Amino acid sequence: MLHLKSLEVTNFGPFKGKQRVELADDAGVSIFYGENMRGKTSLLNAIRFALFGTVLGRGRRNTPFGKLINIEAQSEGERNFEVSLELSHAGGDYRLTRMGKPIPGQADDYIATAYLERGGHILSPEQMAMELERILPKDIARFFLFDGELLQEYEDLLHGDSNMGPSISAAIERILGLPKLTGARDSAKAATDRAETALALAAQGDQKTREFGNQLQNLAAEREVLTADLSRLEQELEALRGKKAAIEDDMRRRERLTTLIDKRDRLLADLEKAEVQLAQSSAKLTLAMAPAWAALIRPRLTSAVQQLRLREESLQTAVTRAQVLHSLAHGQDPTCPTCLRALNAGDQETLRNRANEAKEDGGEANQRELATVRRRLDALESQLAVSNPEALRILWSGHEALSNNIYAIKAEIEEIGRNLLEGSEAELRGLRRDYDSVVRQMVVVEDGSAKTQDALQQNNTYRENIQRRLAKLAGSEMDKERRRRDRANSVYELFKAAVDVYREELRKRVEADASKFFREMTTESDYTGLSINESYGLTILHRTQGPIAIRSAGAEHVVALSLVAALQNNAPLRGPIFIDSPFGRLDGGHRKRIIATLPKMADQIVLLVYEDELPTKLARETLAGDLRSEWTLERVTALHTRIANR
Amino acid sequence: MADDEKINRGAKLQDIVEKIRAERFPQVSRDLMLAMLQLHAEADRPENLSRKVDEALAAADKEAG
Amino acid sequence: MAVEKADKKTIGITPANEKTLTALAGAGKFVTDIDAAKFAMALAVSKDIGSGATEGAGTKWNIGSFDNDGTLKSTIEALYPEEGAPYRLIEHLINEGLHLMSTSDGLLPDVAGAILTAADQAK
Repeated sequence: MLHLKSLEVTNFGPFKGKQRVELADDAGVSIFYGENMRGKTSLLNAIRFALFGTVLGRGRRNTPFGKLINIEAQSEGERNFEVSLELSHAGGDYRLTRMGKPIPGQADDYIATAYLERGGHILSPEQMAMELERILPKDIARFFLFDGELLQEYEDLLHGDSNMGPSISAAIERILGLPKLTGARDSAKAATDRAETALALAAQGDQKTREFGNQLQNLAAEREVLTADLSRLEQELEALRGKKAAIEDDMRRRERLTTLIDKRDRLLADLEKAEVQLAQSSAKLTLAMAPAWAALIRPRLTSAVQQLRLREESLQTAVTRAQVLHSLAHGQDPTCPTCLRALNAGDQETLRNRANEAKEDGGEANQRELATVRRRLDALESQLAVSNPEALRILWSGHEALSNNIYAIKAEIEEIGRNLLEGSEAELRGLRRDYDSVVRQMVVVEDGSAKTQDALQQNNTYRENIQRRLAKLAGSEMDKERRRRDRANSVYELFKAAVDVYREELRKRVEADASKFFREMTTESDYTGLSINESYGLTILHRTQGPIAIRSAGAEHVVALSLVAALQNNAPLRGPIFIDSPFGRLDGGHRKRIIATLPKMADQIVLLVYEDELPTKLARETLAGDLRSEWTLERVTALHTRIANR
Repeated sequence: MADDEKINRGAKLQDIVEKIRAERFPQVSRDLMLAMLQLHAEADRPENLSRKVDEALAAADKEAG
Repeated sequence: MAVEKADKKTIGITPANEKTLTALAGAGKFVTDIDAAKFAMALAVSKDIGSGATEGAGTKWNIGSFDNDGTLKSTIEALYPEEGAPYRLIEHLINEGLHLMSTSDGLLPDVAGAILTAADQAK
């Protein structure tokens, strides 16, 4: 259990001169109050600097050391800065000091040097590296130096549907002690291989069994190659999986883009069709418009026809009568068509006179007029035949509808064009190509992996065969080696099984503890806990809805705290938790609950807050006996902060 | 108290391995299992780890007779 | 009976109506401007434009090409029986019709509108 006893900073960041902070030996919470820019983050960075020799600026980038020297001190001639930590761990007392010095000849470039004392003795650099790695390995540090503002690091942890990066789950498993088992497992495997080799050598030594020995040696060599291949292929596959997932994420984000592009393609096809239809309509219209003028005056034509028909009728009657009279007047043995009486010469004389009068009266004129009337009727009727205003109207309004439709389609296409960012379509096509390529590559690698596994399996079978035959043949000379090999293999199988069981056990324990802490800290009574999958992805459990994704920054905050607390609870490696702005985005309700839960999370908690974030009164009331000390980061000048004990 | 806790948590791991050993790998002696665990505590791994493992196996061979 | 004047042998458009005729041919999808001219003529008839003559019409078509089978002449004679010079009347009606279709605000001749009105009237 790592415990921070004191912290001493000299000309580091805003802390001018040498300033010392003594922390309590007992378990509990220490609070540092400071307004923004007073040095809260610098305090955290001081610890980071001492332990790892790095300092994080905004954007999680390492800050060059030259920027760490206190500016006022520098203007007074000081060049160096220093951080010193007194720690206790597993019964031992340590003092870690790291200094920043300018590189000779380069005013702005700094170098950091460090030394570690244990029980008063300075350790060698190699020993220091080993001890520090033992006390607080860097990649686990993220779980103890909890900078609320750098919550970004945790976002990877908190999406239940994504596979967490192997580095984070490996880090978690380190905290939880798994390396002990995986180490034993791997050592046993190596021992098994060594025993195998010894067995093969022994077989080679004996004439009877030499051939088998040789074959075993060959197989062992082959196995090494195949195992290396398999490992490489698996790494490749893992990398490809990551790539695929990333592309899928990207494509999902551009889903809307895909929909737009598809829509636009459909619209373009529609446009082509519509333009063909419009052209056809145009052709029909042109054909229909040639005789269209008649349609404008259809009623007039109709009434003119009526009038002309009447005229025709009366003319026709007159003409016929004249003809009848003429034939009666000039014919042989005429008979009256009406009374059927035969006409005599006297009658015919009368008729002839009458007929002559009729001619003079315009009988020919009637015939001429009749011809004219008929001619006009023909003309009118031929126009009427081709005039169809209703049909024309339908053609025109249909044509307009088609034309409007085309404008509408074009407008939509233009709108989509505006929404598609330039180049984004090409990007999407590029993504699709990449995706297909990755999928193809995965198939190849998976295939290779399967083949390699088959080959390994075969290798194993041959080996077992040979060993069986060797056993029959060799008798007792190689018993020793064989027994050793079997024992080593059993140990390997034992720890292999133990790894799986323990992993699952740990996951369950971490899940249970994290759920417990979460329930204590969340204000939402409908949340029943947290669920953690095999790769330590987290989801919130809702009373009726089951697992729900974590969406808000505030929720992420609380869940991350729960995870850290659970890890602390289950880790053989326990240490202090430093939290900068723990309540950042959370409301009063959450704040209170978090404060109350803090003392349960670790033995030593250090909070860095500003007054509004955590009013002194509230802290004192809620923490009561668990509150160990209070400090204030006081402004002396803009460039000088004093750490004062309250 | 802190060390007790550490022992406690370490014991849990040991218990798990012991259970598996007893049930499925009785041919591995308890002593050998403990020796392996001790050798692989992250904090205290010896430099010549593989040699130490072979020595533990040899000791177990001898025990078994 | 009306005094028979000598009828025209050619039909023409006033300079002012030339632009309208071109616009009408386009707007109405007419293949030839003769078809467009007939359309303008019919429009004038439908608006009860009566007898008259248009001065300064120039020469655009001869009646052989405009009305090769004489049915147009017969039709107009049927509609205006008192008119003694049908082609003169036709020329007048064409120009009056074009004048009706011209607008001062840059709009095209409203062919569709004329047809719509005709369709309504025919019901």
